[in-house]
Amino acid sequence: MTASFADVSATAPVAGGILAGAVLLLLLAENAASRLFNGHRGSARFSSYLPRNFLAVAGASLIPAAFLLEDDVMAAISYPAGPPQGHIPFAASAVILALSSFLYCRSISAERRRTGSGTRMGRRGLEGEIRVEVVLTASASAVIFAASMAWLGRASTEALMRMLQCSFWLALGGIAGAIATRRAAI
Amino acid sequence: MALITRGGHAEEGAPFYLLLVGLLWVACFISYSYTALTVPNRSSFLAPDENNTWCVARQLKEEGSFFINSPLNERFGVKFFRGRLFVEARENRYTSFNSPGLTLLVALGMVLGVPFFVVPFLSSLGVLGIYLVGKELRGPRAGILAALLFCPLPTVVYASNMVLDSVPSAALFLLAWGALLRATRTRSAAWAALGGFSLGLSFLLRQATAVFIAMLLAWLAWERRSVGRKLICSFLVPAALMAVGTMGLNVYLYGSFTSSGQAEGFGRSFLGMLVPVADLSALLHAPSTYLLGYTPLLAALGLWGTVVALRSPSRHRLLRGTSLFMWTIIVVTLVIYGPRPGTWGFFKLTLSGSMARYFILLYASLALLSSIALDEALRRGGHLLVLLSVAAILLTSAAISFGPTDANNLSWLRDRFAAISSYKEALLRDPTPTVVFTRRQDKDLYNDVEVGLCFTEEDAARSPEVAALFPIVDPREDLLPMIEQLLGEGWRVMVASDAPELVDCLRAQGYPLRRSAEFGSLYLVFESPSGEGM
Repeated sequence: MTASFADVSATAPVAGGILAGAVLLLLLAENAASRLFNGHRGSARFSSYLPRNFLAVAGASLIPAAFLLEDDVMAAISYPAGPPQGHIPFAASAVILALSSFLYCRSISAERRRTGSGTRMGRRGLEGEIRVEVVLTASASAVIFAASMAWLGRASTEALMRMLQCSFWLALGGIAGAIATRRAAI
Repeated sequence: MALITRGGHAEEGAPFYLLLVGLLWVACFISYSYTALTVPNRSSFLAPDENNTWCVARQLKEEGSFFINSPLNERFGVKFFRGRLFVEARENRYTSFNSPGLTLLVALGMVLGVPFFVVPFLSSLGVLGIYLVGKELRGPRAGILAALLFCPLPTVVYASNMVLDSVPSAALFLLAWGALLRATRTRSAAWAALGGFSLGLSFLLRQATAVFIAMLLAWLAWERRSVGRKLICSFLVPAALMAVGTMGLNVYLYGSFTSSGQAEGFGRSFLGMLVPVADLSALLHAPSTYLLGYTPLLAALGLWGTVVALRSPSRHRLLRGTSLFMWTIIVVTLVIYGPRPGTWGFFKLTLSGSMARYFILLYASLALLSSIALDEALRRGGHLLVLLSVAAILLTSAAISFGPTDANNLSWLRDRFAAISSYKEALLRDPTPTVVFTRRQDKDLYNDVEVGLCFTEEDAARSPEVAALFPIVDPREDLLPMIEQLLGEGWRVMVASDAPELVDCLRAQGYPLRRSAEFGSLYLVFESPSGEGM
């Protein structure tokens, strides 16, 4: 079924929020994975098995899942309250993402200073550019999924464009977070 | 031996990248030629801009003249027997509203028997242009990435499948820029001359490019010491000669240095810059739609690419300066074209809207900045980001161009061209002199049959642009006596369904009308009440 423009207006900002949540989950997943595989001192026995592109893979799988959730679940939640208007939800998503990225990277930085020696994950967490790369990878995954939905006739062109806009705000939030983190580390 | 680019990156594996560029060039040429390849007997157009270029090119080839005469205007002493985007350059002689550059090249294509491949070929030069720019700034890998990100963009593919000058002009601008960068590194006067010629050709095709050319010249003045006087001369002389030739042609055709359409467009654009407050919503809408809605990934990657470029070592001054130059292009494009909500499709998220193709150089700049980001990602081992980014662009393009979502995709365009060409063929099979009254079907029919434009006072009240550009008619007072006379003389009179006032007027006067599938949405008008039924 092809979504109408009214459907798009209602669900795209919600999708923005979910995408923000997905990326937040992604960041938390890295935090959890870092602790699980590396421990506090990088001595966990499974650390060598952690894929280098773990974050990207996590993002690629979480964000399509978020789109699916948006279509089937979140639309039902948002409709009774009426469609959200404007770009505020997008901006809010970006702020959430930036803040989470900032706080997470700061916590990694503090952990590194506390332990005094960098694990592989810890070193990667300190580099702002890695955060940018991860967020952009997630954003590209979102674009791919949105385009796939359009290809399959699940979304109109307007729906596709709104989802694409949404992916940008998320990426912007991620980049802002990474830049802020880098400055904070200095 | 590995050469070192200005960005300090070695040209390792150059033959491999050249092979990739060659393959991409062929792929782009084929995709840009989709409608030319799938509609062999095409004689129809989507935009009136295409039609005026086509008509004047055919006139140039067949009659050796830029001007089309209108016998019905002359006979009845009126001005509405013409196509929409034409101007009366001489007494009762009409020529294209747009720049004559593409007209000349399409006429050349007609002589060679490949008129519909002219735009795809010129557009595909953008592959070489953007590769050269990316390569000179950051290395061949960045060059191929920039080409991969820019050339498959839906707007580029779509506009290249039409007879429009936007993509060819931007492609030649990129080629000029790339050649200039290469000339400054290799100290080659031949590359500089090629760049100057490409720049002149870009200006010939679309004089609005002058804004970006001025910026490029400002950049050249800034970099004059590193470029050198000899190279600057080699670059500027062919460009200046082409520019003088273009303006001379404009003076001959329109009596001014710019073509009518470009002058009017410039006027509107700069007026828009002066009164941005009145159109604040439009100014905000433009970046939201055309920057973020069409190319969100490029916008995000481009931001990161800018950070990478600005943080590059001081010896890469060119990269840092050029990244700012590219952002100037982006901002200027948005400022000039942002406040133009009157343009068709401005508020609609559709790639066939007239606006999207004005932003081609903005997308090229973003693609170049994005390629810097992806090159940096590759340097750090982030292959997945590169893979997904390129896949995202290709998939978005494929979904929009061939998927089931957009009514204006390439498949739809192909079917429309084929259908209209077919009914037009049926229409022209009968040699009876024919006149069609219409608002919009002039883009398919003008200069094959006589076309009378049917814009009324109501249209003029709704849109000042209509009042300024098109003659206004009263169907009852102006057209009915004329139609009666033409029917009496054996003319075939047709009315398009986009002129309902005239249809109603004719019915009210007792003229039988018939509509058949053979002629699309045209009504055939019969003289006597005993003619064929409604």
